[in-house]
Amino acid sequence: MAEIGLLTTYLTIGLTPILYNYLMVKKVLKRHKETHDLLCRHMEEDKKHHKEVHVLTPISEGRRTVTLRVPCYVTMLHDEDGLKILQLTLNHDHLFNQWELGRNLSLSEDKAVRSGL
Amino acid sequence: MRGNGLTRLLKVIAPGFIASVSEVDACAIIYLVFVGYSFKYEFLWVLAFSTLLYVFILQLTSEVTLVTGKGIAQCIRERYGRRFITLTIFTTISSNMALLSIELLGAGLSLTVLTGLPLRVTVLIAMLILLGLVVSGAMDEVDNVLMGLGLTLLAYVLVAVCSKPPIEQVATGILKPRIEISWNYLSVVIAIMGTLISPYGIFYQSSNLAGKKLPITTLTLSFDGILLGALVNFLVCTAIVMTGAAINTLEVVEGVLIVFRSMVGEGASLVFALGLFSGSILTGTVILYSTLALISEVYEAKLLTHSPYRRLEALMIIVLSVIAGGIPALVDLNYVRIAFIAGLLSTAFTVFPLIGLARLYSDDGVMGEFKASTIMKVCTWTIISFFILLNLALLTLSVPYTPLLGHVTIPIEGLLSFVVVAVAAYIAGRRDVVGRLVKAKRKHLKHNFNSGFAGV
Repeated sequence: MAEIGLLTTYLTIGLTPILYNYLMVKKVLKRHKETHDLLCRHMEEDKKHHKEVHVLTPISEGRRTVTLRVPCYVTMLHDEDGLKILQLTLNHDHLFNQWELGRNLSLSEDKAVRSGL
Repeated sequence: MRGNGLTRLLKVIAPGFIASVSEVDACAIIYLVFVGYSFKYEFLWVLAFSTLLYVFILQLTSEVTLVTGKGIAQCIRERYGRRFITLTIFTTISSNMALLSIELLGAGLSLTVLTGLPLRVTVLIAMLILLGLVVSGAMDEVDNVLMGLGLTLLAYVLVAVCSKPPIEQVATGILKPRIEISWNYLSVVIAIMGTLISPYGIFYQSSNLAGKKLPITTLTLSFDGILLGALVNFLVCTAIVMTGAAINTLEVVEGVLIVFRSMVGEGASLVFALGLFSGSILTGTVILYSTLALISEVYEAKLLTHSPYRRLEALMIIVLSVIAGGIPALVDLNYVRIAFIAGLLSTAFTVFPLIGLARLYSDDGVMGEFKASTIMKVCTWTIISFFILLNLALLTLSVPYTPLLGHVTIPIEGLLSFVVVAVAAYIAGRRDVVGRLVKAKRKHLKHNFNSGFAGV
């Protein structure tokens, strides 16, 4: 009985972290790939429905706001004085590749925070 | 990534494979033959357990490296400051030099078996071969040579299989762990683990992966490379223990040669020497590369690039390292003694890189989308704590000169060198000696540069 217990402990401690880590990484990579594919699909759709907006030409009276997907959202207000940027929204829930951001910025972000930027 | 499918595949799996296989070095071969000779198959479960732990450590290394796109040492420096990494760099380089000594002795020993030349001469030849291999080109070109060298170790497996070992006893040895609370028993467990888990493998794999700028999508392939290497490592180590179990004399080389001769006849010397030479040169190359990578990442020296000026600096470090590793090998030709000192340092100094690695892995800010779950964090820190306890136990054991394997004592030099290096690393880490020196050199260069322009 003691031997079975020891064998179970030995295999559990030895194998579990490796297998668990492997499965977790596969899961995250799958999610990562899905996000990437979704982003590509959206980019393609955007390309298809691409309409050039000439911000300097006057826009019809009835339409006061224009939304561009870049893939962040920039909401703009057009009034009599001209064009004003109201809001810039970075929606990373499904569109933006969060990992790419993390990979490139995680260390430098921390530096920026430390230096008070 | 450039190249065809196979080249790309080799490029991804090579770092993990080599890091795993490089643990079958002269130190492991000499020690495991002793273990087989003294205890037969009793400690095979420790071998399997250590291999699994090493696979886990290498998995974490490749995960952190591919997520951040940087080597472990560079990440530690950027995230936790230079003091922490200075301790790691000093201790790792010390253990690297000690291990290099035994690798040079191992390579020299194999050349002596083949040619009959005196050991001192063959150690010198081994130093030149190692220098030539490392200086000849970037690691990308040497990767395939190293993988080929790693596979030659399979000769040991063939010999072990031919010797018709008692399969039941071997299987029981692997699957049935046995814990005995005695200093002698624990010292053997600790030494086997120390032989199979060393800091250079971690830095080599990390730097090599980061240098190739592999995308995160190759992570599972990299894991496969580690597993493949670990499998080869385990098979070869088990075969070495089996060979040890079959010998009847304490003289390692003579004993192993007798066993090999009974299996492969006159080709015995060649098979044995090829395995020992491959293991030693493979590990020697990996050690030198990891030393360069470590210095390069910590001091932003870019020693692994192709710039001629930097290459000269790299060449100097390589030559100095080979000389530093070669001197103990030339002065003291007792390979068993040097294997124990190297094993001792290697085991103790694995703790520092492991703490850095675990900190990075548990840091959600570093890992981003790949942040570790609580279970994985607990697992990682449990393993690290286990290692620290192991090393404390090792120190306690070595003080009263407990004979290892019943007949070999850890020499006083090993203990002294451990204490001296640990104290030096501590002082250097506290005062950041190398960091200051590098800063002073840069300031001096900048001053010269400015004054040069002022003259113009």
